[in-house]
Amino acid sequence: MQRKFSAALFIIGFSGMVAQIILIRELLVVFHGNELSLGIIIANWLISEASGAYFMGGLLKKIYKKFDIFIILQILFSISLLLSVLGVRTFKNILGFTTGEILSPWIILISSLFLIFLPSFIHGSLFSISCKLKENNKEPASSIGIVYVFETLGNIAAALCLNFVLLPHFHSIDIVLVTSILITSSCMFLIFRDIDFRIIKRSTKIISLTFFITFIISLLSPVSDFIHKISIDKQWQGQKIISYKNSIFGNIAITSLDEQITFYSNADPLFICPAPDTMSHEELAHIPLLYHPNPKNILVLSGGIGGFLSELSKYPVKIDNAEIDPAIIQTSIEIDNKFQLSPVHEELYNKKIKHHLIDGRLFITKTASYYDAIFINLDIPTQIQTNRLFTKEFMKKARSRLKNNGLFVLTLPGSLNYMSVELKKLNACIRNTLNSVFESVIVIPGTRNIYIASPSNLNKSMDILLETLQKRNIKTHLITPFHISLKLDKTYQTWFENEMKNINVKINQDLTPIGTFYAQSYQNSFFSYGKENIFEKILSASYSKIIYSALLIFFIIFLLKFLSFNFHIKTSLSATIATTGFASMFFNMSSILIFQIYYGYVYYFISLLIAFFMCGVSIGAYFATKHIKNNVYIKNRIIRLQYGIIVLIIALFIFTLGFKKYDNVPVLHFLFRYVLLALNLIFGILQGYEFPTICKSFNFFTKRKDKTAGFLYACDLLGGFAGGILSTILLIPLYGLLRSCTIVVLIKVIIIFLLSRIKLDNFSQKNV
Amino acid sequence: MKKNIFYFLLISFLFFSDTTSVYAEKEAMFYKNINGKTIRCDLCPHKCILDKGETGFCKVRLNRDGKLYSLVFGKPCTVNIGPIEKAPFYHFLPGSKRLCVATAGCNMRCSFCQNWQISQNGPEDIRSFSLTPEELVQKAAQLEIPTICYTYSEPIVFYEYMYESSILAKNSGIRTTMVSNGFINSLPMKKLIPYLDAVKIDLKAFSTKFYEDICDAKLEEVKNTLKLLKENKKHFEIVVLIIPTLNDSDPELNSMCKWISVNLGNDIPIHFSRFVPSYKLTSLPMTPVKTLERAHKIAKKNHLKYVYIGNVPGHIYNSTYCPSCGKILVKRMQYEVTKLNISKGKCKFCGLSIPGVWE
Ligand SMILES: [Zn+2]
Repeated sequence: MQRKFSAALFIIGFSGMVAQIILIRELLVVFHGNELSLGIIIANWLISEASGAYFMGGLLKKIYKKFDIFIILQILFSISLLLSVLGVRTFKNILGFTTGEILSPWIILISSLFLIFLPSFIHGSLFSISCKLKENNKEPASSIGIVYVFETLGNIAAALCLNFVLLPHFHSIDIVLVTSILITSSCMFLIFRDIDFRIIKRSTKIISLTFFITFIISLLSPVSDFIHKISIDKQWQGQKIISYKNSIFGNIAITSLDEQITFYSNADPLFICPAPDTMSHEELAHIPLLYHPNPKNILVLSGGIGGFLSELSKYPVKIDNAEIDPAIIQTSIEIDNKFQLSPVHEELYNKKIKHHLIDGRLFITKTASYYDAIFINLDIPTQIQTNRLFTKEFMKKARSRLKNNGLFVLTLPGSLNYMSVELKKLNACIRNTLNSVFESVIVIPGTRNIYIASPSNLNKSMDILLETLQKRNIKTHLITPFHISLKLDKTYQTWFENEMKNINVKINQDLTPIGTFYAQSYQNSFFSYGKENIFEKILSASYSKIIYSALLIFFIIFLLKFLSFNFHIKTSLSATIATTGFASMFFNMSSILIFQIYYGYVYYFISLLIAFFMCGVSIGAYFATKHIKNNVYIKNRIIRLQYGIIVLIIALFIFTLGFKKYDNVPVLHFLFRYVLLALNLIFGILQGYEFPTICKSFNFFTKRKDKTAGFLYACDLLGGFAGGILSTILLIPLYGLLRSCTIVVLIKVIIIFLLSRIKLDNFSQKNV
Repeated sequence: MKKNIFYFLLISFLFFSDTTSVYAEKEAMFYKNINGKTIRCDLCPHKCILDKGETGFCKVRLNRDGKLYSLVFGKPCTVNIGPIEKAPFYHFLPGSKRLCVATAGCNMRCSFCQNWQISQNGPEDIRSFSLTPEELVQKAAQLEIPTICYTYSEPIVFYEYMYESSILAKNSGIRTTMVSNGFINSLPMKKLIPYLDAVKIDLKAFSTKFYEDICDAKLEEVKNTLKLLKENKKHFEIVVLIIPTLNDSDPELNSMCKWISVNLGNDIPIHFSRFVPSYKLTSLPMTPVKTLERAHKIAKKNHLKYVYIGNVPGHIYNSTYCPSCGKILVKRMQYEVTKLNISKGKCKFCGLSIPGVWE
């Protein structure tokens, strides 16, 4: 049985990773590519998987047909994974949400839990039952460790496989079916080749054989493609899907409706043709250029294709174009080959325009050219991915590529009728950021506020602007002297300035991406109807308050120690576990967001990161189970682990800071991602080592030793759950990396204080 | 110069208006005290039953001690100037300006609302000015703006403010227009009609399901309002925002146009407007121009004479053509009127009388 069973464990690990990554990617399409919901999704996965493990752990004593259940659970897992993917694609429709309506944060939290729950719960229970079966195999002590090791190997294999083979070439349904075939074939292998499994019922055999064959037939026949097509049709109800694929940056879908082609990026319409959004393209192209005497070189870093470039190419200019997701250009070419879409076709093959298949932010560090105007045609920085083009660091880089009287142009949501507090704060944040980099910043208010920034003065009278307009004589549908006078009316400008008075917000920086926070808070105000906005409320809990309260706790503990008040040891130990769970989730999420800030394609990277972390955990757990025998050292070792965690968090911060300074050095740009992986591996080792260590210490102080592992696991997960949600939606966007790291380090320092209360003789007394 | 005055006034609202007290003194019209404590509001078809201290669906009408109060009387949150074409009114003083007024609140919950910041909020959630009906009319007169336009959120919910100021406007020779969803009971509408010069009704769709699911309202009541306007010979225009996949089917558009043609006549201007992703509905694309042209064709097939395509800059159906001689009557470029071939309400070329308010 040994080897065959290990192979089965490997495949369970493999399928778990596949399930996680596929569901994350599918959910992110529904949640519009928001990395900040990653914390929620992963936290939900953890909690469901843990409840599965816990539930099955309790049930194991009562069930006898463990082999049957092991097989059936694996088949159920395959089915539930398929159902989950289909559920993600269709639940909005089934639950009666209006097609195209975005979801509130609460719906995201709850729906992702429901959608993920079944496969991850079953996967968790598979872990428990595997451990038990391994024990039956006469090696009880290290059974958990071995299960862990093989699962982790499966995890890593899946991460590599997904990134290099599966995700680039297959759609989700195919990938799920491939995984299901792997699972069922390992079941078949056990059933027909393993002696222990001979005792299983005949019906179990028939069921697993049936599913094995069904999965194979589905994959090889058009059934798989059919399911894929039906489900994405449902997702884009009423529109015909022409193309659907995942790039390393996100999802790109192309639909057609009444002869209109719509390009979607992460389920948000990016552009349409043949009749594009003339109004916003014309306004964004022609109005800012009135502020430049003679534009010659123009750089567009997003939203170029689909009408905007056509407007710009009406000038005698040279244009460089790069998108935030280079796959957009590539897909445009592919689709254009089939359909010849105006204006996309003209834009792709216009001699004035040069397309660069490179991440827009990377382009600006690499280019040697200087520009008269740089355009960012994005609406709102709700994601870290888009916020990368709204930060001070990026603007500095852009400024260094501008000629003396060059223009830096971007847009934000606005209103001419009423500006809510959230809308004002978002605008103020980005405007302050522009002001911190450029000498001159003007805004043209509208339903889309246009910001024009420049190193030189932008003051121009209406007469001069109208004269420039007339002289250039560019043919447009909208940009007439009438429209310009209406649009640039001083009344609106003054109104806007008045509305924006007394709005004090911080500036948007790479490592303090507060722009995403304000953008999120603006979007969430859709759902709060002005009732006390939870995000605003959190905002009022300022950073200093958190630090002060931490110091207060610190002081109280110190005082109690001074009065030699004896802390409950079990409380201290479980707090250690919970805070490590918190810190490790914070660490993972920080790494993910840092990667996204500098590279922009986190969905590709995330599986590697999770795999490295998991690998560390199993290495740590392996060593801990092997080496911990002598109880005297345990306390110091736990404290040392806390120091290790603190050092790692500081290391992450220092490495990131260093990289921030030298991110234009190609070697560092190449290497930094591996630094992130290595740090996560080490963090995993520490966490993996800590858990069994604390379990053993905890056992000295409790009578219910059988409950220890479950209880501490729950602490770990609750900490992780809180860490996942808090660090992505609050800590990093609002407080930035430095302050968030400080908070987590402070928490760990408090824990060290708590732990140092546990006297050495406590251990020895009980031990004797 | 006028603009500067306006700007000065606007700033003075900001600084000197009392923005904290939302409890305006105005007792509401159209309500019934059921049992001394509970009230039924009879303004719109929601007919909210309100206990003491409760506000209605619209968030701006409050039962205080058995009496219904309007919380937004004389408390606009938005006052600005814009072209009348933006409303859109295409048969109403082309090329003129309007003074737009709006308060908080709405009696619908459309997920694609373009003014959700004011329409979906209650008065306590947003800042407002203090501007009595007298001051409002005075302002329009001072700035020599011919028309006051009640718009942006839903004028029905600030009925008392609209009613009183439009009476005053009538006396001062200023015209009034209402841009509304038409979800109002017939009694209040009848009372208001004499004081309005033109009405624009947003017909959101022509299916009861759309109205119930997406707007929280009923189509039948909106149809009644349209019929009422027709019976009272008031100039009105209909705007249909065509949202891809939600209200763009041939049968729906056809039954809509047929109903309009039969019940309201062929002279009613109808605008098919292009949807732009906004508020919660950001995952749908802008309406294909083809769809709008399809709608135009269906309307023409149903013998509607004045059919427009809105929000597509430069589209030929953005302009008005004479149904008799086919020549261009009003040439528009988005909000700009570039040619006007109507004099005294008649086609300059063939003399056909064109419905609307022209001078
Ligand atoms: Zn004529």
